[in-house]
Amino acid sequence: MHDDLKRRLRDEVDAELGTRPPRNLSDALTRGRRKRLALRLVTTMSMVVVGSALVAGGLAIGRSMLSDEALPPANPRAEGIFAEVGGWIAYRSGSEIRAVDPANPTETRLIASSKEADPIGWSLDGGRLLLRPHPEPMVSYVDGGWQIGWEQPESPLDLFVLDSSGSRTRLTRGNGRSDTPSGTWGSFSPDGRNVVYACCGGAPGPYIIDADGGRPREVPGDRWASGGEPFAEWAAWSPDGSRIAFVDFWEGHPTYGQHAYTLSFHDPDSGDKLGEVVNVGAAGPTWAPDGSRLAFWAVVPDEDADPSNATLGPGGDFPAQIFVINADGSGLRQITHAGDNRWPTWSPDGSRIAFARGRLSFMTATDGSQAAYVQPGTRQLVTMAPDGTNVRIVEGVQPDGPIAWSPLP
Amino acid sequence: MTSSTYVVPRAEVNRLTFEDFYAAEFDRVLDSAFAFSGDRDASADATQEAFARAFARWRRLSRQDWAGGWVTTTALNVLRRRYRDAAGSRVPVDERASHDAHGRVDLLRALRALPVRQREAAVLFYMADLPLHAVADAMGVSDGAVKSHLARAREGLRVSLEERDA
Repeated sequence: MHDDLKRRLRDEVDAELGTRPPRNLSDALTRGRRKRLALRLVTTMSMVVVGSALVAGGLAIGRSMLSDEALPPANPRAEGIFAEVGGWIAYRSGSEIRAVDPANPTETRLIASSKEADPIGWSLDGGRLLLRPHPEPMVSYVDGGWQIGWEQPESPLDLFVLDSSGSRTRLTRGNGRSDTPSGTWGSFSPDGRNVVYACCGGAPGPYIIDADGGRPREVPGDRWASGGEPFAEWAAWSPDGSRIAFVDFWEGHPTYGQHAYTLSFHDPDSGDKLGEVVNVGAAGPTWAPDGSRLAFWAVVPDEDADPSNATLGPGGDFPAQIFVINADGSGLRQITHAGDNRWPTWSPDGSRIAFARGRLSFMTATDGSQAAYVQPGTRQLVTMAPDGTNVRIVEGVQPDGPIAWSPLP
Repeated sequence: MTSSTYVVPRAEVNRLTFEDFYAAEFDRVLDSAFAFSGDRDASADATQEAFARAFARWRRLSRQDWAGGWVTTTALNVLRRRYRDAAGSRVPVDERASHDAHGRVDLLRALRALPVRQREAAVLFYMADLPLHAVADAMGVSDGAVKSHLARAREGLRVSLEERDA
């Protein structure tokens, strides 16, 4: 059926299209060069604008984000569609965003239709949920190193805010233009008024945008001043407001070389680096409630794999594992070791980390190469202590992507 | 989710210059755009635009194994936006009968009469030759949603076949 349809459709296209329009490579190159120049101009201009605003406003951006009046309410209370899920874990199951009480997994609630988005983080008052589209990062071996990339070509890599009334605010406009960069990961500022986010390596970033929408502004900083070209792919704002974790992909890093990933921590006001820069392809970063530690997942390649022809090793293992690191970049430690484990999220008191565990399967591509993936609908929801001990499965829950533990006690 | 070869094998993408890539993929992208829209000029322009966008991002795109799929999807997006901007939201639907002058089933017309999302899924799967998960990613939906779109698309085409036979 498939092959027949393909053949007939192509035959009809041949017949109807007839002689194809002439190719014009030089036109494509000329237009492409203009677009490339425009991308760079917009990036440069946004840096100038942000810099000028900081000078003129006396770092007003950062201060306003961290002012006393911006702190979350002392006694937050879940309302509306979130009324019954305070302290629960939100996850996507097919076309639904649901929440489960990890202490009593038989208790689940429908929060909203997923509309093809995953929950990735709550505001600290538990009143808003950040959603992202759900293409999963893919892992590939390129130019001598494993890379995490995005299969989504151009649309729509956009973030949404779901509020307690059930309404959604679209934060980003993934239209392929660099002045409206897309978003694939982010988190709320401590006061819930802003969201820091990054995308899939197509624009520098990270960016800060009003949680009610608006025009994003690039987080200040000069990571590229020492050479290299960073593309932010993940960003997370610490709950105490003191820093933002950046995960950058570098075409060429001055220390770590070609196609390197770094995890670093930066002052939200100035962009100044805080602590150590760590050479790790951290993904899905989330902060402990007290801001002392960051959890993330990273691919741990099977050293027996033969990446040169994109086939996998004898063990067939090509998993991601959960890591925890201190807020100053010290103390990196791997806390899961079996299966494919992603999307860590912290309990309200920081005593547990929940994550999604899957089992890798293999797919053979049309050229015969293979890739590993987790069959949708087969992941487990698991919790553990932050040191990787005391692992418990939340029975009966199969998250299809990232999960987010409500910060309300 | 997965890493795989969509159109041009990754190893070959790494070897290819943009010029080689353009030469290898042009017809596939153009044909897909034409199957989607039925508009020869618009398809040609969308194809050029998609390749121009690819060139602007070539340094990163050339390292990806889905470069060809990216360009095809971009061309469809360009077409969709063009129609949305020009006509207020909809890609034209071919309302003509799904038979040609000789009474044969015209699958292309039947395809273009499908709802846009079904049509997009069918073009990416049957014309651009993307695997299912790549279609899902290109459309920003789940694999299951693509299967559903494709099943409905095939059902729509089947109805056309039956109407012809009736």
